[in-house]
Amino acid sequence: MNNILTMAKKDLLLLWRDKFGVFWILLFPLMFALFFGSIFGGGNGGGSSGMDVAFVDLDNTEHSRRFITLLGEKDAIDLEQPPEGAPWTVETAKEAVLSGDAVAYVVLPEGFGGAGGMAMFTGNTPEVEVGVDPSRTAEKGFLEGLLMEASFRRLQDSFADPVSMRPDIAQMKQDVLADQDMGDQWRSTLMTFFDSLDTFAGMADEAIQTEEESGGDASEAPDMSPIKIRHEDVVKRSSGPLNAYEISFPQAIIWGIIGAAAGLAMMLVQEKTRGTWVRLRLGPHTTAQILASKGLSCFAACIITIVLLLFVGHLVLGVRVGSWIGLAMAVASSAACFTGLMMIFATLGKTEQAVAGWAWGGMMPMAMLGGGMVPLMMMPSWMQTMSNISPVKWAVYSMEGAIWRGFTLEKMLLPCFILLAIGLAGFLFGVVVLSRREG
Amino acid sequence: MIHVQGLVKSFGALRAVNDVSFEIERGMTFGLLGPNGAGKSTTINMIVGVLAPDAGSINIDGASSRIEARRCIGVSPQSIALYPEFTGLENLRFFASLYGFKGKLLARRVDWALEFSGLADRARDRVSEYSGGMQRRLNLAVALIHEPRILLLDEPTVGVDPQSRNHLFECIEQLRAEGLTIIYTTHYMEEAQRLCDLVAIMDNGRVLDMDTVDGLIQSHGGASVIQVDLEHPPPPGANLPGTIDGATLRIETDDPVAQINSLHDQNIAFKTLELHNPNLETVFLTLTGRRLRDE
Ligand SMILES: Nc1ncnc2c1ncn2[C@@H]1O[C@H](COP(=O)(O)OP(=O)(O)OP(=O)(O)O)[C@@H](O)[C@H]1O
Ligand SMILES: [Mg+2]
Repeated sequence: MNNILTMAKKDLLLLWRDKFGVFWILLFPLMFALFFGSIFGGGNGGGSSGMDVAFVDLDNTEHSRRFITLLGEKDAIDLEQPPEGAPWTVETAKEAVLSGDAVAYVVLPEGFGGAGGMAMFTGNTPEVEVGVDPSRTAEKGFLEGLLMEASFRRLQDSFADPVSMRPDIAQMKQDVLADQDMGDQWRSTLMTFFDSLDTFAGMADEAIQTEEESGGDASEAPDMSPIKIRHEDVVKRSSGPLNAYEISFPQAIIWGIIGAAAGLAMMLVQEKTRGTWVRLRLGPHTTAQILASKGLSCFAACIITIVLLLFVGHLVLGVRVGSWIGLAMAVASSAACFTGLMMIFATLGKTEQAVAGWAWGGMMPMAMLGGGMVPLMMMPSWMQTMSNISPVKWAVYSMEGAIWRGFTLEKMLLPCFILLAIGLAGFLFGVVVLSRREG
Repeated sequence: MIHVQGLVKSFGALRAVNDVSFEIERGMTFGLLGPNGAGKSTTINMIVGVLAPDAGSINIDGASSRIEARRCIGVSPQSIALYPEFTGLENLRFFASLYGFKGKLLARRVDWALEFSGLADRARDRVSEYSGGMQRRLNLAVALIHEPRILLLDEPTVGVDPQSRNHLFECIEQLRAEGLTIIYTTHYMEEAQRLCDLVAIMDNGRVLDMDTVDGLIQSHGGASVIQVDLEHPPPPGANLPGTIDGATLRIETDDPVAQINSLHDQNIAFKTLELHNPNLETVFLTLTGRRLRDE
């Protein structure tokens, strides 16, 4: 056991001394992650700074459309476009939030635009439905604040455009008179209010122009909110990557551990061509122990590579960790998988060049197919299915699972199991073939 | 100490080692002398157990298991078997720790090895920066790091300048004096002649003969040859020993000193006189009809 550790330590030190190897294992992947992470928008969800919101306009009036446009002009909100041009329905909008395409949806009910934003005075305050993931409390609060602000704005606009307000006032006076449930006291108060409002609308537009500038006076009427907000918790199926680095880091890690596995496979063959293999064979340990040390050094090199890259990604570039245990599982099983692959590479050639050729030549298409180049989530579905044959896919998938796909530990089991199975099979294959060659 | 019986090893159709047997006593230096491709390295690799023989057996006294046997054997392979990215010190430390040396004991062994190979002042330089001779010396020192009782040296002087070679010889002679059992392969007959108690002449996978250097020369070396360039061609019918070709006289004899004395007594004037005593080269020539190396 001691000798296994001693030999594995020696391999890691040799790997570290090989500056060219270190470049491929650490520097190149880091450059890859930074480059692709930044050109695909880096932080904050793919290029725009606002949160994507799907507005379901059931009212579909001049008022409701203006309300939506007004909100869309805010930096904090991006209007998520409905698929295939059809307007959002409650169902499609909910689906968009579920799948992570939109952060939230907002439903403006029928009658929302009625009474120019003053329906609350008649007890018909429109009820706006907001659907958002309960975990995103910050976004939820922010969105509701914006909705409130916009509805007060709308109310204010009505005051700012008194001429357009007058038919609404007439309509409301009728509504008030028609409302049987309304107390007489309240009815007469409102009628007085609407009368004076009507007078005001007819003569006071100049004064109100300035009122608009100061903004939000209406918020001093706490019981008179122009809208009511009803929450709908929509728990996302998957949370989606928060930033492009969450995509580019798992990919970069793949290149790093391919580099580590290829480098160590080359070193294994190099021991033979250099003759140090004979010395190792002469030591007081079995050939199986030498091969175990090779496996251990590769496993450790992969772990170190992944941890260092994730460390940078997490601390510097905001790559989240959805589940630490899940991530540990993904890291360990990916490292095990590439250890097995390393052993297979080492059997494929008798010279360093041959092994390097096989390792890179074999892993390049596997990486491309498995999401090392084109992110898995951007692949067409037939390709995602095809990528299942690539070990790289499962490594990327498991890491993404722990980072942003929000996998439960149960869901982590399948990719981790596949990775471990490949690793074990590769390692056993390597041990059998390499020991047999010893004659 | 080491009994090798009927070793056979083939690589495909090529029989690299063909029925090789020998026996080496404790403290003896045994030479395997043969040209390139004779099968020397293959034999060594089978003795140390990195190659499995097709047939035959190898017995090493006092070793109950294979791992035990390896502990008492040190090998300096034909190719430099070191990590060039490591310093000399790191190489020695690594191999010593494989044999379980730790702490003070390890430091003592490493110091000894650096002293022995004359590399103490270059210990912290990478092996890739060493000269060929320094690498050879370290290659030997690593073989000795775990204090083996048996030392296998596979062409330890290849690619070494005469001065370094001399240093290596002195090292090996020191080990010999300390009582190590040594197997030494070479295609330099001077090395075998200088260092070995017992020499096996190997060619095409076979041991052609095996004896002490003197014994081999006696059985296969033939007579000494005296070659004389005379001042004047001798008159026809002069009573001279040997054969004459123009002014060159060639005498084959078992007693060259007596022959030279007799030439002197006859007052024969000569420009040059060369005496060729038989050596292992002659032995090899007699045994195979070829020279050891193609010069
Ligand atoms: N692994 C191998 N595969 C195939 N052929 C081999 C192998 N090792 C040795 N041979 C062949 O076996 C023969 C004996 O080789 P070996 O290395 O034992 O010779 P040697 O006496 O050590 O020669 P040298 O002085 O050049 O080192 C050679 O013809 C060589 O080509
Ligand atoms: Mg050889």
